[in-house]
Amino acid sequence: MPLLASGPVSAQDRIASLNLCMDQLLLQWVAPERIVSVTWLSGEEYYRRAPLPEHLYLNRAQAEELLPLKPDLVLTGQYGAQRASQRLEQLGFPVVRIPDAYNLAQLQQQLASLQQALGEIPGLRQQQRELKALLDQTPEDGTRNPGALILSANNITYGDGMLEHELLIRAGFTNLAAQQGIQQLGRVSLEQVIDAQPQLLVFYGGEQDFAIAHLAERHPVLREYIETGRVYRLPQELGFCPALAAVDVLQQLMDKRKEIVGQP
Amino acid sequence: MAMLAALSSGPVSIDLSAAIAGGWHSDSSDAVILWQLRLPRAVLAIVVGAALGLGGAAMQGMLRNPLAEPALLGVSSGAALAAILVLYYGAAVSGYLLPLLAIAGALLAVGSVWLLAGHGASASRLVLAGVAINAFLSALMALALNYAPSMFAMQEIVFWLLGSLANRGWDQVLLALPFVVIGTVFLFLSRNYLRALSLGEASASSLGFSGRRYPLLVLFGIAFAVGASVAVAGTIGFIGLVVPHLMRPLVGQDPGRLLWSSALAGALLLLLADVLVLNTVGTQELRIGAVTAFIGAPFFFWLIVSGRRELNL
Amino acid sequence: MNRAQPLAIRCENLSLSRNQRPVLDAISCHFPAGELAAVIGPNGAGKSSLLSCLAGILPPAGGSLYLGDSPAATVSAAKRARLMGYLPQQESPAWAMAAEDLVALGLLPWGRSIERAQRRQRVAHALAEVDAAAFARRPVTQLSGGELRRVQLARLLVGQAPVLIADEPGAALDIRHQLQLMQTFRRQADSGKTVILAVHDLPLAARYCDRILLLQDGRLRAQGTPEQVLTPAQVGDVYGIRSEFRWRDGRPEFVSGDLL
Repeated sequence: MPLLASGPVSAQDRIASLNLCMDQLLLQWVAPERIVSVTWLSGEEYYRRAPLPEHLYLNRAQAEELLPLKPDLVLTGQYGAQRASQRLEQLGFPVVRIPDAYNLAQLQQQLASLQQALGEIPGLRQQQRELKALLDQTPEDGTRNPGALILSANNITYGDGMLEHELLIRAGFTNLAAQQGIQQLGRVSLEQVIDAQPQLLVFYGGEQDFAIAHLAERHPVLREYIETGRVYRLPQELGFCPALAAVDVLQQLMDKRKEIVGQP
Repeated sequence: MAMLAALSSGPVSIDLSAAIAGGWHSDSSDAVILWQLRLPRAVLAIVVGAALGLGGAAMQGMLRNPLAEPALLGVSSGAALAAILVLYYGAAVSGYLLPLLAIAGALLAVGSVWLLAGHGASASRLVLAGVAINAFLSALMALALNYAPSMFAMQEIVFWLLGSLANRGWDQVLLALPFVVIGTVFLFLSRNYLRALSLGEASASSLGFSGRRYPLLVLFGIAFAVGASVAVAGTIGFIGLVVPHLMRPLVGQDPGRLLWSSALAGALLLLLADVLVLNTVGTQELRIGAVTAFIGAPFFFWLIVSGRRELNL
Repeated sequence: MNRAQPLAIRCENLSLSRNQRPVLDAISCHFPAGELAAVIGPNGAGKSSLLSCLAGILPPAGGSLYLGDSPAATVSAAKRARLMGYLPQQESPAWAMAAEDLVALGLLPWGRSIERAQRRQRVAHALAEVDAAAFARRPVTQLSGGELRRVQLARLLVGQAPVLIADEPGAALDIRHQLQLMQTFRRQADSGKTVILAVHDLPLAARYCDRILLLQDGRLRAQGTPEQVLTPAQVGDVYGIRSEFRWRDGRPEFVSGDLL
């Protein structure tokens, strides 16, 4: 992915974002005075992870919205808002496309790209460090790894090739879905969950609002798992912006593994 | 027999006899699958199917029209709308409030149909009013889901329109069952009224079934049975329409006996439909409402074509 | 179940309005047990409304109705159903049931108190009385208009209620069956029943009825024996036709003439 760099980067103070994940990362790690616009999605309660300063303009990924704001850096993702970012580029604004992250290697790349675009940011640097530290730990012995299974909304599970899968493996679990041959996404019925007898049942998002999509989690048959603490809930943001949560999730999964394996 | 098929159907192959022998409290995963996942689902299919068959028979009896069904007159949509409002907007919902409010929704819907059609309206005018109210309520359902806080809400309209028995356990069965039973009792008490109505409204009145009591009894019965079913399984159409039709010749056209036989046949039909759903593999869950519509719609066509010769529509 | 006691019907100042128009205006009438009464009058006179009120189908707006000595309001719907049988002017059955099943519905007010064997017997008897035994098992949707009417009549008779109210029972019937019908009602009256009919056919009314009520525009013009009511003056006034009332072989005979 070509990065449009305009020489050595000095601290920008009129940063705009056309991508939800970039929004959240900016809001998380960059001083609010330096941001002029994020997408309207960040205004939605469901997506907001960091407080939203009042002065920000919520854009709908239209080039003309950003023109009057005169941003000195426009961040955008790999997909989405293509027309707007191309237009802004043509008009001479500095546009940086940050690649999406679908596995841990790409996640590190994403953080590096971000750093290159924004310069030295303490929060960002710390995240990179923590991630590296966790990844440098040698994964546990493969044969004694407890089995884990992800039960996401609408009975979806995550198999080989997904970031969530990698996090499980790195934390020292066996992904029972991948073991059954599931690539990327697959369906898992409650029967299959019970049959697989995972030692850790992983839910994905969905704690606050009701949805039939999450009905499976509330089934009494899973009560035992919940009561014995053999569940872990992946935060929603892992789905739409892994950089926000991956480090914490990995750490928590590792702790969970210790908890499970430690039991007699 | 259908029960056996239902219990044997599922993504995971289990040892059925061992699971049964294991008993309710067995820990083996096969037993858990049988008792906690498959059995409640089958029981729910039976309860919901019976409720829908019963509701259809009662509605056809009361309207003196073989083309009536609870879904047609807004009973199902009213219940679904109420359930949607409760589930997606109501913060803390304690158990029985859900089916109760769904029943209230069903009653309100029927009330609106009655009001719209006017006092003493003919059956065809009632059906027309029902179609109008139904359309209105479906739009409201979509609107409510559109603005619901949950991420998935809008997609879940498919569930509410086509129904599903997946991921349901004993808690859902116990939630709906008391109300379905109450509805059944109400309808059972009104069986002679439905019989008398075969003659005509005036004659029925002269035979002792005058006043508001009996129509209200039937309406409440239908609302209770169908409303509670919709609250846990979504709206499943065509059962209420098709089953009474199939059963009527077998009971000598008696609206009273039709109630029982429609309940049984409805339960059987829905159970079989669910067996089909369970045995169909695909990326998406096959919606049970789609299966019943697949059976029901051609039946409906046949009905209209053959009915042109006989009945007055 | 034993034969019910004879029951006379009486109404005082009965009135009824529909859509703000008065349909019945202060009608006071008396129907003794054992009499066959006919309510006659031009179209729209209020015959059907009066019968509906007497049968308890329509609640009157004013006035009172007595079943025997008790006010009708104090009689429960269930009890009333056993005391009065009612046949509306026009009705079609909703389902294609067998004729005898339709007739059996007339026994609903008695519920379980009649055993199955006796039930079957009474249905057969009622069908025989209206000359419909031949098609007892045929679905009612396959019957002609007249045949259906007779089956509905059987439904009215099967209950053996002490009061029988029928709105134009002979409307769809051929002349033979109309005569049979009036003879059946005559027999019922003679056995102690109170029979009230709304009829259009004046000669039949004159010949078979003990009592005639003449209605016009919701008001009771005259009440009494056929001779008293069917005077040429009154008939001319109400119907606008010439008529003659005479006796032949000891039986009353009414003959209608030209338009006035």
